[in-house]
Amino acid sequence: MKRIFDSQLIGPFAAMMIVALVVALTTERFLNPGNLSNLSLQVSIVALIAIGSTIVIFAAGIDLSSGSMVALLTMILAQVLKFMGIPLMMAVPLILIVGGLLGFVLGAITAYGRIPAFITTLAALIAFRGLALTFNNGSPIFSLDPALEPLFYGKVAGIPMPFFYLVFFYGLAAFIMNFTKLGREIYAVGGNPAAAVLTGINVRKVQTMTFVIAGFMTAVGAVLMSARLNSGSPNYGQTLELQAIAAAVVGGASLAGGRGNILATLMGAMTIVIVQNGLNLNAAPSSVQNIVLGAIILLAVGIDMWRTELSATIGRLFGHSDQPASRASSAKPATSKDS
Amino acid sequence: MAKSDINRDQTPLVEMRDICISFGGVHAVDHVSVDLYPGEVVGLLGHNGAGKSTLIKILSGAYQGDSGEILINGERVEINNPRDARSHKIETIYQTLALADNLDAASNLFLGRELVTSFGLVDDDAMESECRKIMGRLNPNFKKFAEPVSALSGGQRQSVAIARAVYFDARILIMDEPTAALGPHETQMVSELIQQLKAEGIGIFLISHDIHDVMELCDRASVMKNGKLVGTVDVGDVTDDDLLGMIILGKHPGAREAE
Repeated sequence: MKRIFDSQLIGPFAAMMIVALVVALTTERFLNPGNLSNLSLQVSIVALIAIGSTIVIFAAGIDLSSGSMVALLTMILAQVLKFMGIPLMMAVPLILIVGGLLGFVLGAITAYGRIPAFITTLAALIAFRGLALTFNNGSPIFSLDPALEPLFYGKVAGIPMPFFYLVFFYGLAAFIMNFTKLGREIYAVGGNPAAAVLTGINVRKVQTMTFVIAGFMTAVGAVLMSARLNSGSPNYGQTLELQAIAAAVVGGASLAGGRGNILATLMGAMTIVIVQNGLNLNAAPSSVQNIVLGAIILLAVGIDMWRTELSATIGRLFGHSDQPASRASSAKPATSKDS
Repeated sequence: MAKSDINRDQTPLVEMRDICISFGGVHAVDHVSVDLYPGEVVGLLGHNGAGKSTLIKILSGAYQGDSGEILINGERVEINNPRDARSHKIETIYQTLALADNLDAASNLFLGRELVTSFGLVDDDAMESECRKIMGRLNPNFKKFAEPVSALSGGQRQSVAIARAVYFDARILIMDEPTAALGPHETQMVSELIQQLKAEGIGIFLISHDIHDVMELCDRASVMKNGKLVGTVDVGDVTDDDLLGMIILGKHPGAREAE
């Protein structure tokens, strides 16, 4: 267990607590049980998708496609449930498989076609939204299946279902990243792809795998999105990819790859959703919410930059010459065992 | 001083025959043949761009040659990637060190071939323990096992890269400028290590700019210029100036003693 909980969780946790404190002090309804329950529902979809976005970022990639992929997958789910009569028990696994396959295609194009992930997934961001519009003449499909909603709104022992999904998938992701060869290789590929090749790691396969994981987690998010609204729509998931990436960045994942803790992404997602919730409760318009989301991303990346600068400066001031400033940008341990 | 007492009647450990590789019309390596015997150190000399690193990357699997063949113990082998090279017990210490800066020493030591538990999970405890053992042998002062290798000094990073090449029982070792980033003390350590590995019957290709290094550590030297092999000489039979002439002028000093 020594690598799962490390010092990289401290900053994102502190940020989350500070934001929660500020919102709690300024907004009286924030701590209502109803609102807190709503908060956990709100965070679940973006937090689940962010698992994939973060793992792609660990391998120095980026996934811009998840929001549009959510729209496409909700439309496919709606189509097979409503018009093809496929039962829910089969439709959900089908959507998860399609999500994984779409991720595989994006990953393979990126890794084997040597097209930057930014371009591949930007193209997919546009194309998936277009594909979603080809179903049902571009109209949303409502009232899918009464058994769908409990997947999102159901409770076990009084605890909302999404809580269990979060525990399960974050547990699984932390397990993969910390205890499997794949996890170690993802960090290595993100840290130094050239070295990874020379040490015999199949870098393209590893990169592709990260996109398969991302596609699968996006499908999980899409099923929950459909369950939440009991519908499919080509308009779902707008800017969801940016929120997921923001969750990763606020959680401390380095966009340069190789550094971060997957559990911190959950805290990053919580932080963002708490801010949005606070703005909602104070009746802030959505335009303000987008501006704030942009500012949060900028601030999180800024803190990442300043932190390395700061540690380099502190290092110089106190004469720790064995910590070269030039390497400080990657000096934060990805899998450090000390804390 | 390594006075050559290598038995060259036996089958060579490595033979690279008539190797060619071009990049966009430039003949980076042009019909070059080199060989290496057990317990021998062969220096590869030449200016930047002479083709020595490119030649050796074909052996380590980083590049695939356009033509020519590679024989290990007299048997023709295909080396299409670094994994193939490793399976033939060829290990490489790259000039860039090929370290993942974000990972610690043990993770780098076992990069791409992690030790796993009986459940197939990465075994960090076993890897760190093995790492401590080999570092204790190679660089007893090394203490930073918990930190990412980006926090290490040049010499410490080098020793991690060397440990990785030595740990897996290499029979053929490629060292690309192994002492370029090192101080005198650490350079001495590398020299001693080379002597020790030689005694164990390991064959070493040593890429270097430094004629002094080559004269001291190598049995033979193969000199390259503009992608072509100038010649291979027994270092016992040539002077520093002879080697310099080969590197700069591409001029072979008389007869080819080492053939």
